[in-house]
Amino acid sequence: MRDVETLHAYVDRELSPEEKTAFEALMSQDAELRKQVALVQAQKSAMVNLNYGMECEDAWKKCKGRIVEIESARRTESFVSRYAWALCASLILMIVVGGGWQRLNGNSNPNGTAITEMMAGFVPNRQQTSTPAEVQRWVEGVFDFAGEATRPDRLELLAMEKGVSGGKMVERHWIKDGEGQIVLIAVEGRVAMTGMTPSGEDGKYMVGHVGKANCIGWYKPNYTVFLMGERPTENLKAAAIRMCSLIK
Amino acid sequence: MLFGRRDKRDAFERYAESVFPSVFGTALRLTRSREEAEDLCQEAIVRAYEAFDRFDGTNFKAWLLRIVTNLYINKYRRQQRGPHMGSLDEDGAVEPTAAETVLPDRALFDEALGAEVEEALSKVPADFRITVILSDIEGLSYQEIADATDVPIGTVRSRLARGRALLRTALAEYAIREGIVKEGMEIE
Repeated sequence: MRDVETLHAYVDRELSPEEKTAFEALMSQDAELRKQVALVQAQKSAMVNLNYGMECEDAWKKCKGRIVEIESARRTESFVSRYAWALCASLILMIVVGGGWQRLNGNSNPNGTAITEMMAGFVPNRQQTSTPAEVQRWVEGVFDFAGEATRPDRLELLAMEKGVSGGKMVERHWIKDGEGQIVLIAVEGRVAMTGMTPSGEDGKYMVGHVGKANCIGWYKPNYTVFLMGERPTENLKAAAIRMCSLIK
Repeated sequence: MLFGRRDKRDAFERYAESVFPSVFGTALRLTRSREEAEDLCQEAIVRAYEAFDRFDGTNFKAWLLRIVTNLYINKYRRQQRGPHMGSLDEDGAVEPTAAETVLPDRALFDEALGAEVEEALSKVPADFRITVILSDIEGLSYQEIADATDVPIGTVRSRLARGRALLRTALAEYAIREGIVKEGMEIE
């Protein structure tokens, strides 16, 4: 009974009532044992004093930060896992509805890709070789003012096509001038010139390119007009000016 | 569900904040490095938070200290291969009571400042130090210490007796070195 572990267990109040009674009986007859008990009790008291409020505010803030991170990750995970199918379904629905609306509305705006299609994609309703007089009439019909530029000796219409692209009527004219061939495209209505950038003093016309061909475009009341050719944009602009005075 | 989670978090933070000084103090005494103590505490808090649903509601401090201790034993100690752990024969840890009479006695503890005891405590091998810290500083029962350190109660008892003896030795050496007591002196 008089062993170190029992002594420590007594100080720690870990003895059963019977063990405690027996130990106290032993202690009452043994001064040395009482001294040992007092020593361990003193030591224990000194240790208890170490249980002071240690500075740990920063450490606690970091721990709280970790909890916030966990909760944030859980919320995200929970939301995604719960609504993933709904998100996918919504996205698909938006695509379908948007596509349907655009198709039904008939106000689709050809973009750069559509312009490319205008150059080469659609099946023409008819194809013909025009006379210079027809060119002049057509250009004068498209533009408000053609003037000298439309003189038959300065422009030659090589071919003309009419067709539909993106739900809009399109006319294409292959024209030859002093510097080579250019393509003039007139699209029904107002077409968004996606990918092209405003140019000119007042941003009246847009410039861009489709493949190797440079392109300038501008708006007319009932048409959107594009002029394309494998030549510098400034030359295209000069050609347009020769044909009309609209984009000065 | 969201409110339930928020309530859980609030409850956990209330519990954890109230016992955090003890947890941090224990971590600091185990690792003897503030940075490592912070890391240990963060990991313990995260573990505890994730396992909070399984907390039986009895003694949160003992539960959290158990996590800290287990983490330290399982991870930090192995990684660092630092503190000397339990190389002393635990079966032989029971020493005769007479051996204690040659050590400075209660007056030393009465006069010892916290820093001195802390210094002496840091010299005690980790297994014994853990047991002494959990018992004497944090006030855990033998059963709670046994649970925290994953050893039988008998081992806790022997480690405690041995650890306190080692602490007294370390404190006596410190006291002699600092001139608080003279070598061989018995203080009544």
